[in-house]
Amino acid sequence: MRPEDALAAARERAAAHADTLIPADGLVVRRSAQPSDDELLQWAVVEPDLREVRSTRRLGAPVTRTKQALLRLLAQYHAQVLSVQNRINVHLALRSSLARDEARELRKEVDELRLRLRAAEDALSLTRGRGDEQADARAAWRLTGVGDGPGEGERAEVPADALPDAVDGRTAEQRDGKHRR
Amino acid sequence: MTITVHQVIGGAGPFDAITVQALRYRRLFDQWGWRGHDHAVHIDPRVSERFAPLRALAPAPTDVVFAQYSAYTPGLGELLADHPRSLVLCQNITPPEWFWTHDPLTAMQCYLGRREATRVMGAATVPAGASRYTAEEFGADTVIPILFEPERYGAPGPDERSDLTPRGGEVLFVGRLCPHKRHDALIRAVALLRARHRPDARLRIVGEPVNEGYGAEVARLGEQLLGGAFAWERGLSQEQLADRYRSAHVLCCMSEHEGFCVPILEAFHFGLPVVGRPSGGVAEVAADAALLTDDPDLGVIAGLLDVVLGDPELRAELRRRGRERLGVYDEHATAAALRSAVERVVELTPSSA
Repeated sequence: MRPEDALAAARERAAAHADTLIPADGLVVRRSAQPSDDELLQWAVVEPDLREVRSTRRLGAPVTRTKQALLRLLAQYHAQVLSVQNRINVHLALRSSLARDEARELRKEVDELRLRLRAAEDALSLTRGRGDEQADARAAWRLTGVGDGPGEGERAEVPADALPDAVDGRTAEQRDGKHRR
Repeated sequence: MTITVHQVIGGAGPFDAITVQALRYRRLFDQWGWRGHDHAVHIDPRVSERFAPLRALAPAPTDVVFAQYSAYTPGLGELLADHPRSLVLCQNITPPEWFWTHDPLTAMQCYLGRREATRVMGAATVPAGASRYTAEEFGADTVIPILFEPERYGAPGPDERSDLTPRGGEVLFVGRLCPHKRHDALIRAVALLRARHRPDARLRIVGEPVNEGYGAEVARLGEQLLGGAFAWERGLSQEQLADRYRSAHVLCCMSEHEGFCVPILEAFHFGLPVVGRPSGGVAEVAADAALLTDDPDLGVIAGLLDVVLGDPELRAELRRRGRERLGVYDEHATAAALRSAVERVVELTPSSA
């Protein structure tokens, strides 16, 4: 077979075995433009798991026990250090979350003002620049969900159906029951 | 023409790919009779005799500063802004969106690195990329590929592996365990290969994880879906890595972002067929010598693996094309591209000479 024919052959084989699937659970990598507020708050609290402190070497059990015993002895000190760190982490995460909420409200207000301005300009038959038209379209999209989508960096999560592959061997189309090319 | 070239890299370490490449470049500069020193911001004590701190660099106006930019490098932007002669070779920097969930610190480094890249490349007399893909992404028109030296890997071994059976085959992937490399998709593709076509197929991945937690997640998925047919190795020597290439039957790269992808050239060197996604530099490096598809159905990847493992003629043709691609990335061609880029810097700035 020539390399150029291999893909068609692979698709045929995939179609012939489409009913044979694999378990869908476990790690699935997802892109995220920025961490969500929930993730930030979750990460802000430092809570090391003592069970993760272990030796992976052969016959490492005594090393594991020694490490864990030392940590127990120092538990009071570590708790004190962590509480200081957690205090600042949580406050920063909370402030970030509140600032984001505030920015969202301000943007909504600006978008509404922009649409009112547009209505006034239309009433006066004023000419609008291309930049204004685009900003209006984005504002309308944010307020109503109709029209042009968000600009770069405005969307925090990549939608699940944009994931490049399925976790169990099915495509997004197969999962949805749709057949798109 | 004798030129003084000072190299700058972000971090210098004994096993770091950029460091190794900088040392090879210095060997070339020595062969050409060029002078200069190598500098880095962070220096591992084990290479401290070869690199001086970046803050100690005070180039004369006629000297060329050659920076390999692969991560946020504090101080580099200021240095280039004040220096008239510079070549910046941008290695690709992964978009941070791949790391926010799994390694926020790396995400932040990628974010800063990509943001600063625009400034650094803009300040360079000659900006360059390690692949056409990277060059275009960061606004450069010069390409200086990775210096690939096949002799480092030893003999390729026999073209056909005698232990390949109709029910089996070893799939290999070499590269850091990072989210954008999509080890999760690779494991699932091999699980489908086993479930649908080849019940004895195996997967071996080689590489250091971006962090231990992510490595453990990948290992858990591998053990869950492939059981004993899954192997993860790290910290291999050059000889051990060469052995893994010699014993594998196909290389599968599911990565969704690659600036260059050296393992593809390594696979070509060892006569391994390559299957994967045509992301970024992969399609450019592999060209028609690999079986690439962006089909979202992992069953198609499993199908491609089955096709290539079952067809000796197809493997022979891919091997022939792979060796042709090695010719394109011949180390002498890369050395010539580097020399030409440095000389261009000098030609473009005659007044300061």
